[in-house]
Amino acid sequence: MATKTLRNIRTAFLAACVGATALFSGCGGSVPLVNVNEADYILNDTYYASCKLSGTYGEDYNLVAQNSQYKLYMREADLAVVVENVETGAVMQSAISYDDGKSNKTWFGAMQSALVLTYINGSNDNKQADLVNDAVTKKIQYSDNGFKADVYWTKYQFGMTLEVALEENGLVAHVSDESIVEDNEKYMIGTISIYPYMGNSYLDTNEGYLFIPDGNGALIYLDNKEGRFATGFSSMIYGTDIGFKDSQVVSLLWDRYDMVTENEKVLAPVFGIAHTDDEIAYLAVVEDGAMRATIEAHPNGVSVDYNRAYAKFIERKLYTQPTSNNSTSGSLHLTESDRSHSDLRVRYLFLSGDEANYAGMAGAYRDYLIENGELVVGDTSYNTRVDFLGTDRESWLVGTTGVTMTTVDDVKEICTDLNSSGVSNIFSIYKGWQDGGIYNLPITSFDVEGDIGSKSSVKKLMEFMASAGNELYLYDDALTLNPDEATASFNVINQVNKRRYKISTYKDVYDEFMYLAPAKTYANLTKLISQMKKKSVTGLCVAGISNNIFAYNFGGNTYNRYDCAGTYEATLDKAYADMSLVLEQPFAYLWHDTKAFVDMPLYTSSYIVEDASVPFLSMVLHGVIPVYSEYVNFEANKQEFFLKMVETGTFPSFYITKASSSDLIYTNSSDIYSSQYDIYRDEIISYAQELGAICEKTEGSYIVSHDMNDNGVTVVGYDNGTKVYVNYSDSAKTVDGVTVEAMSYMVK
Amino acid sequence: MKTKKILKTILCGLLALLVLVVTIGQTETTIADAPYKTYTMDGYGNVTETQTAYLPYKTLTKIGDESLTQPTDFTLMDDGSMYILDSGAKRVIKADAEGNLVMTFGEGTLKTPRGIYVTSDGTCYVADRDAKKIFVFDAEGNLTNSYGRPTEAMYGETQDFLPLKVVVNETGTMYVICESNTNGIVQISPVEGGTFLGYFGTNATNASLWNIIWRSILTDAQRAKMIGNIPATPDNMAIDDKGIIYTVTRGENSDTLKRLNIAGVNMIETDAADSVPAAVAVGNHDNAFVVSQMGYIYEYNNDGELLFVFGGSDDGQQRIGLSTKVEAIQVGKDDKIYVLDSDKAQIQIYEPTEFTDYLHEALYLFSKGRYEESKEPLSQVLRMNNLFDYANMAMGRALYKEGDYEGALEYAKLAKDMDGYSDAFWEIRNDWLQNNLAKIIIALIIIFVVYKTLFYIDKKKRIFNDFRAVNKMINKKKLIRELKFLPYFMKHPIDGSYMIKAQNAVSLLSANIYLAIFTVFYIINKYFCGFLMKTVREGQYDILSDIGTVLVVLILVVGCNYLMCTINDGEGKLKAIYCSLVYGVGPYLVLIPFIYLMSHVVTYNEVFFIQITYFAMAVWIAVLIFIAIKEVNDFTIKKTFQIIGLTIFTILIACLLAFIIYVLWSQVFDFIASLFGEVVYKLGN
Repeated sequence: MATKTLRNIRTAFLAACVGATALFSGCGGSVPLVNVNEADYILNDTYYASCKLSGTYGEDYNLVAQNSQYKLYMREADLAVVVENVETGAVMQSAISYDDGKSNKTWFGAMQSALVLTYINGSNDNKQADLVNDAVTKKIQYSDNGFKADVYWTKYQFGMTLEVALEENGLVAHVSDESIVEDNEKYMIGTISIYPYMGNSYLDTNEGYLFIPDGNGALIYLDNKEGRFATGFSSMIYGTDIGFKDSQVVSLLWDRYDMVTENEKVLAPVFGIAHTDDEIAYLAVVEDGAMRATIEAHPNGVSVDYNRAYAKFIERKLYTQPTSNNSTSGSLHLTESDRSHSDLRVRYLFLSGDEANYAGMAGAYRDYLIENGELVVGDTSYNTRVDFLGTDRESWLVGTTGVTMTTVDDVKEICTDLNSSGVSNIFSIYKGWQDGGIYNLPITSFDVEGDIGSKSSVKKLMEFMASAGNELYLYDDALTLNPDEATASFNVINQVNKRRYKISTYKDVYDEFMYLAPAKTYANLTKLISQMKKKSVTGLCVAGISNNIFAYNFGGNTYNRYDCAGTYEATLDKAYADMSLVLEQPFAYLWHDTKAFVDMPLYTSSYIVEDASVPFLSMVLHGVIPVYSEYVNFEANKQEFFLKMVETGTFPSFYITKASSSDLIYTNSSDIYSSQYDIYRDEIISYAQELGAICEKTEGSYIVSHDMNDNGVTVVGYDNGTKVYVNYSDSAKTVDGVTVEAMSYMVK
Repeated sequence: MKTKKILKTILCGLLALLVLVVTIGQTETTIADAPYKTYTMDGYGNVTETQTAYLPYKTLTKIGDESLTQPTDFTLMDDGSMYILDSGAKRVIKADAEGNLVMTFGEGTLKTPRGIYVTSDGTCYVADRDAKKIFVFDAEGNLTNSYGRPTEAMYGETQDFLPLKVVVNETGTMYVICESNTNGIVQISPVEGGTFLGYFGTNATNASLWNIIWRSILTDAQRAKMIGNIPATPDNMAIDDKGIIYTVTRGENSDTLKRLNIAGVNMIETDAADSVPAAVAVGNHDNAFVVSQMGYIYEYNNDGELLFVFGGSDDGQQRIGLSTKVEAIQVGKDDKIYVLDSDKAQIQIYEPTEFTDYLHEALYLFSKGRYEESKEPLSQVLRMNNLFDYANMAMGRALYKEGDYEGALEYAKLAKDMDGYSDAFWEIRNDWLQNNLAKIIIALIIIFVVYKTLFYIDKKKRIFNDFRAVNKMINKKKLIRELKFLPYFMKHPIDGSYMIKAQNAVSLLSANIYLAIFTVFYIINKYFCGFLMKTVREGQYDILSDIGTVLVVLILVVGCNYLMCTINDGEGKLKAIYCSLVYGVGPYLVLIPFIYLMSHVVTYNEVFFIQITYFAMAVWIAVLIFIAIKEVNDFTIKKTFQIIGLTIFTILIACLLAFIIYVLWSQVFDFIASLFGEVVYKLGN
């Protein structure tokens, strides 16, 4: 029965779409709209009647701006906009154009409004305010390229100004921080979503996909999901906020081990929608407010049958304040006293024709970043990344004793051996070089562990590496503090609820780590850099602060993620100016501070809602800065991982020790279960030969196309005409006349 | 072997073909990262992280156009086709290897089907709880037979028949798990319309010491109600090609997974188990898989050692490969794992990684005794993870068989494979002894001759007089005399105790020195004794708490004993009691160095020597302490026993008191902190 009704609706809807397309392409007139048996629907109210596709594209919507490529229409009632490609007539709309009649008023409001808010009233934080269901005063001013609307919710007594402008490459929607007013303490703004249904489509009426920045990148196809998914993709840009994280974990193996791996962090503040049938797409860049916003991408079936993607800005949150150290005693629910202060700005980069796909999105994002100085084009010639572990510590009768894995001389010996075996360029990060081993954190001065060498031997090593065409960086986790080796008081952060933030390691030697306050990180790093410079040791790899931002409480004051990110950016800007700096898996806002992207995720978090993973970030960065993979050592499917590197143009990474990794069994590094140089020597050489040969043909060029064929072969096109064919299937396949062996690749 | 390999290749090829023609309704993710970690178990029973063993491969949510509604069980056939018990729709769905719908059957017949088993000829057995029957369908899906409650008296007169799970062996005998039937698995033969053969594989009741004591106190009626009295009903089972039955039962710890032979005797003991197992499946390499309701998947080898645990519970993250409520597991001929989730109404397929393939190959070769061949895949496994315990163990054993005992010793030590270490060590020691025995004997003879000669010369010419003088001088020192009193005390405890009490034969200082030596010996023996005798993990040290333990025990024993002695008119002073007790553990100081040295050279074959030395030491200490208490306080033997009993009781009371004070104090503290916190935060906002 239910399927039958659905089928009816679909037939009806398809008819409606034909009508709608006719309308949009400029036929105008009084086309009979939805020739549906109206009795099949529960109609909302009179508003619905006026909003539905009553041929009012011209009546409700006014043309407010136009440039050579796009027209911008706006509807004053709810500030909804339509962007139309002048040439093809293809459109992207911020409000739904067809109502399936299944949504309640709240959802309907969300699907129409330019601004959708949630507000906090007492301990309730999920009430919605929008431009349709609530009493709103609006003052609209038009300008040459868009409009500006002052909006005020009279009941809740808050308001803001939405500015929309059509620029050459797309649309910018902006709410400035100063314009946000809250006049009633009872109603506080929780979240703000701008044009949450921009580019929406109903069920499978449009072909295409939602693009989400999960891991390297992922797509959600715009097919009919048949209600299989209860939730879509919802992930905070730049990772979850540990400042608000509750300590309880839902389910643990044997009440102890958290089996679920952490989600990949959203490294870049982007999302997109492509309608491949209409050849129109946009990539949205969250320009301002990204530090505290989530990317939401929900396909049909998640609450409503519309596909949508948007950014939700968080202004204020409820949090749990325990009132005692014992979790069984009471706790309070509190609201943040102040909202976060930042402009909110989303830039929609519109794409048409051949570019209306994720490869086009990657290209648009790359151009955008380079234009805005967020990325600097650097040397992208081939390097093999070979990282070394110096020392760690294991317990002994009294205190701990060092476990030496790779000394300075070992590094020199290994690099010499590799250089003479055909691995001509090595990019190396030296971990655990500091006095007291890899987990003697934070590093506050340039002291080299005596077991591996001395300051001057490190300096000599650095000179040797440079002369041999290699690069060496000393590793510094600038975020972590080890309370067994350093004083925690006055150095580490508390969460927003003023509880100290602790990370359990479940390891033998050090069982708990904490996070340094950003101000302390700044001081430590500045000191370290000045000492390194004195010894003219300039290679530095910074981790921890490169991919973590959080709200925190320190010294009695509460700071939010914008403060944290600001401090880190200042710290790293300075470090970049002084040193040869690389960052470990950096967030997009720090990309201008790194010479290379280290630890690029090649996969996604495997959400069930995702249909395909695409190498979006690799496509953005290839040919701009060198991109290094995560360690090959720990991959269970070596060949597949290798092909993934071929596909994405990623350079391989190895984590190497001179001594056997079994020596690490009683240290905190016991998760390094395979790293000995003797085991990996041949693999490093063969990887360097194969990937180096590919790099020769693609060096410095951008990836312009990426096609995943149904037969398991992926074809990657570069702007210099090179094509790389990668066959992930178990048998030989032929694409474009090129035959690729099973689990192999071909470069043409 | 060769044919097997060829067959495997063909099979793989075929499967690859099948994969290509996958139909809609199956979400395929060929390249993905696992959303869960994989752990393996180390020799100490702790889990350590390892490479991903299985990756999510495919999710089946629909068969053809048919969606699943609360499926509870399924059977995977050797050719890849599947019979899914779609319990919500009260039917069986048959799918071919490509996931296409072949047929559905059982509609109208089935009421609350819970378990399904299909034999190789396509005969389908369905356990239906509310119909109280086992239904049998032929390969075309026609109902051909059904079996109800056994009528035999042996079944139990009041026992209901609520079948949940069923498996069938080659002869057609059905093994049925019934709800609330605690007698065991019901065995029904198909002859004469169903003959009850008896109960099989009954779980044992919990017979801990505590339970025995508890039971002796209870009345008969109370005893009958006791939960531990009733054996647990197995939760699920599986049958392998040889007709061996595997069961899983919740809350049975190391007996959670059982492998029952024909007689119903368990032949396996696992080193880790889940508390809520949902199902069990038998693999292709003498391995077994258990899945918990939460979605944790365990792989065990033939001996019940945990190879991998992976998977996890989906707490709203909605990631591929995590589960919500698992009901069944099956393993395909290609080693893929199929897991049925009733809440998600799907079957999730996991694919082994390269790493796991190597391990399986090694597992197979090793279990067949082909050690030489198993070394190649084992070294591949160790290349990828040289801390993988099972591989280290197997490598050690393989090297042992080859006669490379040094190598075997090293791997056995890494794997904490005590038996392997002991065997390898025996061989090494044997070699050493054979090579050096002559030298040792000659050395002993030389020492003996030199000693005798010196003794003889000394007798004639008194060459050692200087030494004697020094010795005499030292002996004049009081402390030395007091320390030297220990051997005398150990040999003559009655006189010795009297001398301690009445003649101040020892001082606090000498007793403290011995206490310090005791502590040092205790620590050295604990952390540096031979590998086989070690009771703590390698690489783990906790000296402070060791010293603390010694001190707390001493204070408790001396303090409580002193209290009891004084109120029972004992004559002993605190000092005398303390000193005599410390001197009483003298045998430890004398014997532990020997035990320590011995622990470095014995294997499990001679471990008896160490045990007997420990035993002798314990008896000796007990006798010394008993006599010391008796003599120092001048008690009778009966009184001494009383005092010892009272002392133990007092120690227990003291511990209890400390615990109560701790709990109360922390409650009070917590209350105050909580009150303060609430006031602060309320004011702050």
